[in-house]
Amino acid sequence: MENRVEELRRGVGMNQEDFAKAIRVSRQTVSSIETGKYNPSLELAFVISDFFNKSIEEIFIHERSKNYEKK
Amino acid sequence: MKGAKIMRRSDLITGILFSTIGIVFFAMACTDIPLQSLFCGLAGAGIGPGVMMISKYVYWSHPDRKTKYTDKLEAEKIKMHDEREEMLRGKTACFLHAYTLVVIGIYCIIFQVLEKLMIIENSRVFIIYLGILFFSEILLYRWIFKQYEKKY
Repeated sequence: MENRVEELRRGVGMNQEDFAKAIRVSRQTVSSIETGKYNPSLELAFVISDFFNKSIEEIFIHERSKNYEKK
Repeated sequence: MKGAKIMRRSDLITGILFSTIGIVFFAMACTDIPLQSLFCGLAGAGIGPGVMMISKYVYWSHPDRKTKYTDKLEAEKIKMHDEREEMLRGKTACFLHAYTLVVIGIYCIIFQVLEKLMIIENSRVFIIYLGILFFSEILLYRWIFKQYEKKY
């Protein structure tokens, strides 16, 4: 899943270390989220969205599978 | 400094206690009693962590390191509850669970073969021990699974 975490973090002028401290996760977790290697839990996604004051959909871009799309 | 944490005195007391017990075991190991190697091991298990705890207390109790210590504690707390770390720990435990079950099964076969070849005796004791390990792991896994289901 793609996301805009890195872009938004840079936008507020924070490094990974400070951002990780602010949302209370490890720096490695922030790095993994930014590179798309790890998808955060819904709870952490909400924490991130609250931090940037944006909705989850604005931060995490999920390409919906065609199988689940409503016809 | 406000909010800064200091090391607890109980850490120092535990360290001194560990070291003292270790020294007692070391003194026992130096005498001509049987089980010297066991006492040497117990001495090492007491003195090693004891000295570590005391030196940690001395190092982190320095007033200049209070802020650094608070940061260290905070980082440890974050790392402990970090969801990615928890996921990795869970995956490791899952792998180890499967691995241990296989290894125990193989060991049971090896012990039986060795007894049949008369290389070892009383393999039944080992097999019973391994069997207990095998079933306790499965029971523990099921118990944790049930606890999780109750919680969520």
